[in-house]
Amino acid sequence: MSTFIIGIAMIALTVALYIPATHLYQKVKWPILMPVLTSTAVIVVILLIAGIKLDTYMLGGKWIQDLLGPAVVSLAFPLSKHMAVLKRNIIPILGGTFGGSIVGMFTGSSVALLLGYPKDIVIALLPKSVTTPVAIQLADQAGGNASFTSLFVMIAGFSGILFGPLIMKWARVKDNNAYGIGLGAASHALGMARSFEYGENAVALSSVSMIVSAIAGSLFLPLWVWIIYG
Amino acid sequence: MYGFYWIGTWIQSILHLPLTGSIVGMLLLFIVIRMGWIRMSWGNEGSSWLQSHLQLLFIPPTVGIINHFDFFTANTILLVVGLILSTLVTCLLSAKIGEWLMTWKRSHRGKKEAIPCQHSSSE
Repeated sequence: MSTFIIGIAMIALTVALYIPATHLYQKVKWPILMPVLTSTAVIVVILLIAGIKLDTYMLGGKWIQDLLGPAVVSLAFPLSKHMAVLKRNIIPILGGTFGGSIVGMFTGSSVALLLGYPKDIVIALLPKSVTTPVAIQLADQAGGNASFTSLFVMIAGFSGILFGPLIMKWARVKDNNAYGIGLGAASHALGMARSFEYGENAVALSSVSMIVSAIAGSLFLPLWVWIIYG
Repeated sequence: MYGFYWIGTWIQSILHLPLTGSIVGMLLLFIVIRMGWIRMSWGNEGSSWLQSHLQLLFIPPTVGIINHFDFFTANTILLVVGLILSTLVTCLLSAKIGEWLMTWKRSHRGKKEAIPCQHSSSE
């Protein structure tokens, strides 16, 4: 019973931090103050100071995390709603996402190889632009250290939503839909969450490019591992 | 949506698909909506509420970084910088190729529409 109470307390803590964080972000709109970043930072500090283990936090945290599955399922609604936009843009989505995925794997693994990282770390970082649950399965199947994969996926997610829009703006990307494709392809569900700022069409495109990125990852990752390690 | 998630996970585990249960479930729900068996209005509000609070759902997995703090040593800073650059290249390239293909398609469609016009004027 006490685990239940701790769980409720952890959920309450998370939501209690998330609500003001959202209000703050809506007011100032600085990417560095995105609710997921600020809330996480505060929770990490609280856990460290109070000496609470991650497992204890996860008693409640896992209930929130478990909603991610249904949240991905619920994307079917906006997808059907924006079917016309998606049909019109299917070639740009496929082309953009596949191109981005290949280059992402190539550059990511090159950096790790140059720095002399072992095989299991190199493989673990290959699916960094793929949504976490799929990425972990992919890394695991290819012989990578899957516990690092979630860390690399986080790095890709956060760097993409923090700097992606800036760099796309700098490169004079004008189409809001293209922002959606870029964010979904590089930063999976976090990118999709960020693309809300570019309108509903961008969200629909970015959710499709997230899915396509997962499919592209499943296709190219084993091939790429085979090319590097033979 | 939970139902579809479970069904998706179940199908995935039986067929050993390289996708996750949530994506399989989403594709199923998508097909069912397209067939007209589920009305958009039944789940539209709930789904957009869930999606506008997606960031909340990411807080717990992100807090998990607490267990990886020892990974952040000197050499890994370089790796992290490399990964960030690699991600940004991915993002930029996807957006650029996407935008380029959109304009290409637009001009292509423009031509297609123009051809029958010319035909009708010449006949």
